[in-house]
Amino acid sequence: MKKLLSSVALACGLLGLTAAAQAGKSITYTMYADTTAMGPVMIGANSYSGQIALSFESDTHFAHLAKENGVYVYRNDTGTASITISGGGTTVTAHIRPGQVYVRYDQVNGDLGFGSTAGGIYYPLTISCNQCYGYDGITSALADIAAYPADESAYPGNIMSYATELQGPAYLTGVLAVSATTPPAINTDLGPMIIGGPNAPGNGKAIFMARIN
Amino acid sequence: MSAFTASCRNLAAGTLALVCSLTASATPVTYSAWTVADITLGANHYKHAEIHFSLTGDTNDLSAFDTGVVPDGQEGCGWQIQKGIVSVRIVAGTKTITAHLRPGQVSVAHDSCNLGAGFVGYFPDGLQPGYPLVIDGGSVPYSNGGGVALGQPGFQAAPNYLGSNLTWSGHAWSCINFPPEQLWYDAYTTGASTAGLGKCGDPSAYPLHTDKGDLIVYQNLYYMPSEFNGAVPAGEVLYDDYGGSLNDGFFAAALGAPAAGGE
Repeated sequence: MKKLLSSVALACGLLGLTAAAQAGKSITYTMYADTTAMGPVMIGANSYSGQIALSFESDTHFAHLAKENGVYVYRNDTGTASITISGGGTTVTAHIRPGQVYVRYDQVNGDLGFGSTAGGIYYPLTISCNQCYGYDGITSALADIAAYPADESAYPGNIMSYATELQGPAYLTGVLAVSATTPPAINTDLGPMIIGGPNAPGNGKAIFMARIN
Repeated sequence: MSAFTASCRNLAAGTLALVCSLTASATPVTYSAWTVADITLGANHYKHAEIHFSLTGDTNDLSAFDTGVVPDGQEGCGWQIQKGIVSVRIVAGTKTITAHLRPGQVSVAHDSCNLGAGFVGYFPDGLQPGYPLVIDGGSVPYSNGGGVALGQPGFQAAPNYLGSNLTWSGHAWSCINFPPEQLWYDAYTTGASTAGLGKCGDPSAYPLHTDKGDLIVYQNLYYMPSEFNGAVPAGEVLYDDYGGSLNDGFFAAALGAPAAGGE
């Protein structure tokens, strides 16, 4: 399951990055989740419930390939992040202080979303497959195929087109990782923010989207 | 969610027993569900577009349902609302299109026996419990209403989650003949022909009528692994009524009058 991307795929990815770096475009990455699964979002002294939209505005110029623990992953570390929680007819948006969160996609291990300097690659909001079989979502399907290429026949014929290098429009789905310990706070303009933790119910599904602005 | 099928078939047949009604005061409410899908509206086709359904109604119109145990051993139970104004908003790139559905085509239901919630459609040949958009599993809450069949001593209605603010996530289904893999297994195990089973049906035969033309939603993201140690090849049958969909979505209820311009 933890198989390296093929050299062909990697070469294609590097070529893609090179081409994109020459003409950067404004891009917004957004992860959608719900507090029923993650537990309420604490910002300052307030607790918020509803749909979570964690967004990261950047430029495709900053997306890059990195090797982490022997696996190639796509990352974008440069941008402006914010979180919006909408529920019960009310909406609150907090702006995350710069330099704390990043966007990361590890196709091999089926990890996709937002990591942070404080909480690591799975926090504050990341899709992560447990067994990397298709039924968890698109992210798991792509991890399944990375490990067992023959499994591609179980999925729609265009499934590989959903893989992203964080360079353009993207749509992926999957299961949210939940922190086993109390996560660290991330600083926002409305106060310290904490999402989830060991008491989160879990079982949440998520949507990750990238949009060219 | 096979029991959801059963429950909705009973709904369509008019045999559903409404077991209780709300005593709380009426409150405006908006139910919504969204995902990303391929969509046809009128003469236009949108690939990978956001589709947001909403029903604006009143909690006083919520009603409980429970099918009891149906012949396949399953049960459907929960709450539903059939009265309200239903609209759909499609976001395709920078373009946003809003259409209003003609009355009587769609209701909102939460089948807590089967962890499903969303917008279910009524068609001339019956109700489609997985179409146009139902959110399944994930954080959708489960309750079997006490596990006692309708009409039996000790029967309990499922909790009325739809009477409060909520947001749930799960696999998104826009599937005609949901859950199709159950039909396939039933046929397979009896030796009957499985031709045409195991996959969602053609949604173009089930248009929803709106003021912007007919609406069709496609289930293009699926998982069909090989079955029975390879006896059935991959690509033939949906995995099951949860994991058969690779797509995700959200369902929400918001009490209070909808905001101007909101869903």
